[in-house]
Amino acid sequence: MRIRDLTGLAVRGIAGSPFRSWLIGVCAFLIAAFLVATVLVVHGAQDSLHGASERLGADVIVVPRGAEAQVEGALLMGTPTKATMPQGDVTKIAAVDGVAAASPQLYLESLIDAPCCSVSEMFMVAFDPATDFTIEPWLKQRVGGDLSLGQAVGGRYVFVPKGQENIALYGYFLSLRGNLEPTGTNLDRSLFVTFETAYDMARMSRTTAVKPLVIPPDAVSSVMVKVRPGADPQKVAVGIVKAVPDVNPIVSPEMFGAYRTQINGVLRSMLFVLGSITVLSLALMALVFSMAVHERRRQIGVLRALGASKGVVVQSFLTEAVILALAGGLVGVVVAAAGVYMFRALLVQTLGFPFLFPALGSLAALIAGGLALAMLFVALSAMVPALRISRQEPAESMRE
Amino acid sequence: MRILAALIIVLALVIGIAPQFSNCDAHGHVLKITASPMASGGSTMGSTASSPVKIVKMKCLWTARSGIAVAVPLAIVGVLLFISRRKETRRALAIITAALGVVAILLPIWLIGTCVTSTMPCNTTMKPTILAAAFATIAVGVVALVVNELKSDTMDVAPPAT
Repeated sequence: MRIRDLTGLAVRGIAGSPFRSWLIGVCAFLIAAFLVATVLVVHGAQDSLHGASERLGADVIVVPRGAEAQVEGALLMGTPTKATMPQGDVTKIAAVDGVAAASPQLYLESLIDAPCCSVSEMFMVAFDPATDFTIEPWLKQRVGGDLSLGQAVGGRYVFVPKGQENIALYGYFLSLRGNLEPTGTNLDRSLFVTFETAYDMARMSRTTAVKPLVIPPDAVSSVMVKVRPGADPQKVAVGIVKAVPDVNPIVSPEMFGAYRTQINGVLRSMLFVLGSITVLSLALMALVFSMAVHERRRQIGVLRALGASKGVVVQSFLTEAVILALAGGLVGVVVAAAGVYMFRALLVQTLGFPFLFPALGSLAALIAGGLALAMLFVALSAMVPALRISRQEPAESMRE
Repeated sequence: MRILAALIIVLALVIGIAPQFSNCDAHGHVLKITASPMASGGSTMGSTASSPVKIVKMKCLWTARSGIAVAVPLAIVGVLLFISRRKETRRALAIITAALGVVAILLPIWLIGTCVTSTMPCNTTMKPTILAAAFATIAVGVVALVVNELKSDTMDVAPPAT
């Protein structure tokens, strides 16, 4: 029997029982949609954390003891942190064996909805151009020089408000020199300035802002550490703890540990939902296909009596299953991908971890994978009843 | 067809009502504009600002309001589709549904727009809700059109004389 005949038979089967077809389609839709949504959310969050670690570019981040979650929250989600450590610690950390470079950073927040700020909320990272190895290489490559007083570099989504020439923060006007690549984290909405600019802003804010910017004297929020080639970051971290007991060094792979745990928790919940939906859908589809086979046993008997092989009977049911899975699954993956894309900002706010939507190539692969799995599940559920009826003798099928 | 008509009415309610509660104004945000230093005679970089502040409503509020202007005719189209029995009328209503869906998409992305900051409520909730409902409206319109064309229309044909 030709493919066209098989497809025609399958289409007639689908059109002949619309309710049953709808049920199978909805099951395929649910499996494909939940699968794609789960992978998109979890993969997007992990990609985002990876991007943030790359952006920070440090082998070890040294933070005040007990402020690990606060600093991670500040970097990833823009949650304000007041945790600081003495600036003198930077020299001690730089002197530790295996440390190639140690550069301090200061995390500052803008005022919320203040008339002296042209943006409603902004997270600021102040860095030391003399020792920095995270922003400076990018600046030299893309901007062609260092930042001078009153200049800033923005994350991907930092912009100069329409109708204005500079970004006003604490009544202080900053000139935007360029934008960094997206990470999906709060770093995309952060402003990077030099220590000199941050201190100048704090000094001026006493007279220009509704509330002054207070920077504790001789304090830094964290220290970025680059280890020497061949040095073990874990051993360097142990050395830092010995040299400066009041700090906690976080080695790069362990960075954002709290968020990784949170992502794993969400992954487990979503996998549970996905597993439940898949099992229930499989059971429902198997039942529906059994009913379809039972209803069409006379038709199948006639087909067999006219010379159709067992394979043709199985193939006709599988073709029906594949058509329904393709239709339902395609709608499912498109709805899931579009939904996650459109509501990604809300997802970040609700789930409390960063998210980066995948590139088009990865997305296409994911969609193809989701569709293939939906088709496999639907075909599996159709296989058993189709095999059972194909083994029956034509006379027996027609007599029942 | 009645299921599709009911879906259109539900989508009209989403487009009309949801934005009223998810725009920035509903969350207490207003735009505070300070004049630039150039405008007030100051320097551009590293300078300070002491300019007057102007408070204006954000444009997402007007997008939300205009959503009502799309939702009302869409709901009427849904009701008409529910009661209509003529094939030509249903065809026209299905096309209008899809067209209103297109207008609903254009409101937040081109005709009026939303706030520039991506974390504002209008961008995280209102815009995706309008877009999702608008895309669904277009899909329902197209499906209604296809279903209408596939269905045989008995109302247009005069009953045979007996």
